[in-house]
Amino acid sequence: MGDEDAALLAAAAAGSQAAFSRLVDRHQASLRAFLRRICHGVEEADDLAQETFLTAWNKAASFRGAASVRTWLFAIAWRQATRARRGWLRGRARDTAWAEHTELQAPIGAGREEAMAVRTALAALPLEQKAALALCLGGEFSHSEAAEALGLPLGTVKSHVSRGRGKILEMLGERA
Amino acid sequence: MNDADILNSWDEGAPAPAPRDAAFRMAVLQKLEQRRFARRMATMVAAGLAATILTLAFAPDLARAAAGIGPQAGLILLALALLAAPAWVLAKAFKLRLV
Repeated sequence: MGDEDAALLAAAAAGSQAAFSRLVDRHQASLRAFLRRICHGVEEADDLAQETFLTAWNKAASFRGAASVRTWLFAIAWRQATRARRGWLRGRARDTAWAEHTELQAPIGAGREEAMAVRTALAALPLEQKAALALCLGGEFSHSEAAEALGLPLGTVKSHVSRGRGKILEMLGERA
Repeated sequence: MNDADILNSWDEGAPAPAPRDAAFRMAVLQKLEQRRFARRMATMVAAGLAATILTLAFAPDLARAAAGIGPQAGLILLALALLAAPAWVLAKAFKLRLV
């Protein structure tokens, strides 16, 4: 998969829109899922995902292959998300507003209370910790891949994942 | 609660995107085209502005004759162009996220 991605990116750097489309197809789902977990809405996340792919197209020629194409794309997405956060999402007050907003939209059903509790707990986490959890919890990224994508030391990512998971479980425990 | 449960609860508020999403791909390609077009336009307008400034600066008589204006109006126009050009190029660049 890595070799194919690198070949597609090289073709995109040479101007192949078909190769670029294929690259978008291969990574859009996981990239958008990551951004949806750390952003404040589906639209914002998808907009950032589009910007990520546009940046990848513009910077394709500068890809050196030090990391995998997937890690490189996620690193771009992470930078977009942090920039967006700095620009128009300010801190925890809006996290709370978002949690309340999604709470209202969530479907009523079994386990809803638990899901709401998880989202409230997640909203209270710092963005870096949330991003590390989003990448590593599903096992899609190893800790070292996540460290590369987020531009953080490996130990910090491990600590973010462990502490983030702990905080969520702790908050759920307090509720129960 | 295990990791999968946490992820499922997390994604409940923002459903996971489909593995294949032609609409998303088309939106990316459309934006790509829009950016290319906008860059071409920005380059053309910047070139036009540069040409205007150079003509006003180095061949003011020709420029004034072409525009049918006097020397003072020519100077004012040159000053305006000199101010407007970098401001416009910067504004465009930020809007297009070129910088």
